[in-house]
Amino acid sequence: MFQDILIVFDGLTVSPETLSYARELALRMDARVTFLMLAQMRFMERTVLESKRSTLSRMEDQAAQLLTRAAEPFIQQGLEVRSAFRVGDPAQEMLKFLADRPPFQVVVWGSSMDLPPKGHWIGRVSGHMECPLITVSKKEKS
Amino acid sequence: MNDHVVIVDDDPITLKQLRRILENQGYRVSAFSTPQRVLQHLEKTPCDLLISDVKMPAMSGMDLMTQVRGRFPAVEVILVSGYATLDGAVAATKEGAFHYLAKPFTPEQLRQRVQEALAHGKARRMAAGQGLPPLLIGASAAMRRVEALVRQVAAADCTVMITGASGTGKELVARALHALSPRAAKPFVAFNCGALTETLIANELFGHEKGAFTGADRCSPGLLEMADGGTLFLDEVGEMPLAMQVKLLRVLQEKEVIRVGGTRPIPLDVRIVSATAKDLKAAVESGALRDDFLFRVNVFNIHLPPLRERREDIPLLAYHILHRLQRRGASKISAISQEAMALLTRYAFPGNVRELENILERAAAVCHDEIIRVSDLPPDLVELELREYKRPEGPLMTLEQLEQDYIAHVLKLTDGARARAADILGIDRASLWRKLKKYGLD
Repeated sequence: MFQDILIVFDGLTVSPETLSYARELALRMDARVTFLMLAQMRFMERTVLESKRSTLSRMEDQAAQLLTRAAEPFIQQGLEVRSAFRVGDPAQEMLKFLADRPPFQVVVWGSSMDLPPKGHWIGRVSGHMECPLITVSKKEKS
Repeated sequence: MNDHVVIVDDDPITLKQLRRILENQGYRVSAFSTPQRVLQHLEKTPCDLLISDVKMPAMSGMDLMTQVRGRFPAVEVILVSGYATLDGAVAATKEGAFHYLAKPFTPEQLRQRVQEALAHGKARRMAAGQGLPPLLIGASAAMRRVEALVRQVAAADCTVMITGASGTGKELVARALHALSPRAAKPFVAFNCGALTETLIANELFGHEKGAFTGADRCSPGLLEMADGGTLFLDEVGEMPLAMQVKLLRVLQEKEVIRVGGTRPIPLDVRIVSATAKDLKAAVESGALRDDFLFRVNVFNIHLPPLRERREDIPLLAYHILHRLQRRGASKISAISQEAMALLTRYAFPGNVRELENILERAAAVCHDEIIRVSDLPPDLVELELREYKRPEGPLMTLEQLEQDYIAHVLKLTDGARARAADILGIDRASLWRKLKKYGLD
C-alpha cells in the first residue's frame, strides 16, 4: 500500500530546506508526494472574477512555475508527485482538499523553516487532521 | 538482581571514589588495580559494565577494551581519561561502541553515564535474544500495555480492531494475537483492503465458482476459506467499500460464506482482526465506515502509539533491526555509536518504525565498518529538527497578542528590515515604529 505525504505551502512561499527534507522522507517511506499550494484571496460572494481575473491568472502562472520547479528533484528520484493550487480561504480550501482524498500519513509545512505564528489559519486546520503536521527547522548549534 | 560493575584504575583514590559512588547507587561493584586481574575476574564472573582508566602502566584501557570486547561481547565499556583534550586514539573511537567519561567528572556525570551504558547493553542483549525476548519490540510503558492487552485478548475469540498511524506495526500485533491464540496452528491470512475495487475484494475474500465470470475456468476458494480455523487480518479496513462492509458483516453474523457465482453456503470458523490508521469515530461520522460493521469488527480495540510517543523504545528497536539485517546476511554492523543513537532518539519519525528500518538499512549499506556513526545517517537527521505542530491551546488570544506575534514573525522573515516589514503588514513605517515601541519589540 502506498504511503502519501502532503506538503502544504502558504501562498507562493516555498522553503527549499523543507522540500529537501520532504524528499528524503518520501524516499524513506516509499511514499507518493502531493504539493498543495494555498493562496489567500477574498471573493466577497462575487460570482464573477472581474478585476481579480488578471491577478488570479498571474498567481496561477507563478504557482505552476514554483510547483514544477519544486517537483523536479522529486521526480528525478523516481517519486510520484501530484500538485494542486487552491485560491480562497486557505483553511477552508485545505479542509475541502483533505476531505476529497484518501488520508495522508504525514503533512509537512513547506513554506518556511519557522513555526507558523499563533493564530495562523493552519492552527484551525490541524485540529481536524488525521495525521501529524510536521514543521521543519534548522537545529540550533550546541 | 543488581547490575554488576567492574572498575579498574591504577590510582587507589580514584578507585575508592568510583566504588563509593556506584555502591551508593545500589550497583554490585568489583574493583581492581590492574587489567590482568579484571580479565581473570571476568572469566569467572559475568559482569554488565566495565569502567576502565585509559592510562595504566601494564596495559592501556584501550587494549583492555579490545580484549574484553573480543572475549566478553555482552560487557559494556566506559573509558575514563584524565586528558583535558582527547588524545588521538580516544577521539578516533569516541563515536564507537563504548562510552567515554572525561576526568574530572562529577558523581552525577558518572551516574548518568553508567545508566546510559547499562541501558545500551540491555537493549543490545534483548535485541540479540540474549535477554527475555519481548512479544512486541519495546520496553516503554505504552508498549508493555499493548503487550498486556494482546496477551489478554489473544485467548478470547473475539474480533479485534488495531488502530494506529501507518508504520506503527499493526500487522505485527495481529500476528502476535494469532500466535498467542488457540488458533496458532491454523493459518494466518493477511489482506489489504485499500486500493481494491469492490468486485476484486469480493473475489479475493469470498472466492468464486467455476463460470462465475469470464475467465473463471475453475472454482477458487477465497481468503476467508483459506483462513478457516485461523485468523484473517484485514488491513486498512477503513478503505473497504460500503457495499463490501455489508457483505462481510453478513459473513460474520452467519459464520458462512457463499463464493461469487455460487449458491451453497460454506461454514466458516475465522477470527477477524482488522486494522486502520483512520480515526474510527470520524470514519463513522463521515459515512466511510458503517457503524453496524464497526460494532462487529471492533469488539476489542488495541491502539498503537506512534514512535515519537515512545522514544525510549528506539534503541531496542534499532538493535532488533540490526540483528535482523545480520541474520539475513545483509550487514556486519554490530553497534550504533552513542552520538548516532542520540540523534535517532531525538528524531520525530513521522514514518514510524518503518522509517527507522529504512534509515538503518541505508546506514548499514553506506557504513564501512561495524559501527553505525553519525556520518552514516541521513543528513537531514543531523541538520534539521522536526516538530509536530500543535494547535495552540488555552484561552483565545486577544487582538493585541495576535498583532504582537504577527509583527514579530514578519520582522523575523524580513531579517529585521522595518521598511519591508511595514510593506508586508500594509502599514506605514511610523505606525510600525509606534507598535514596536508599544509591544517592546524595538
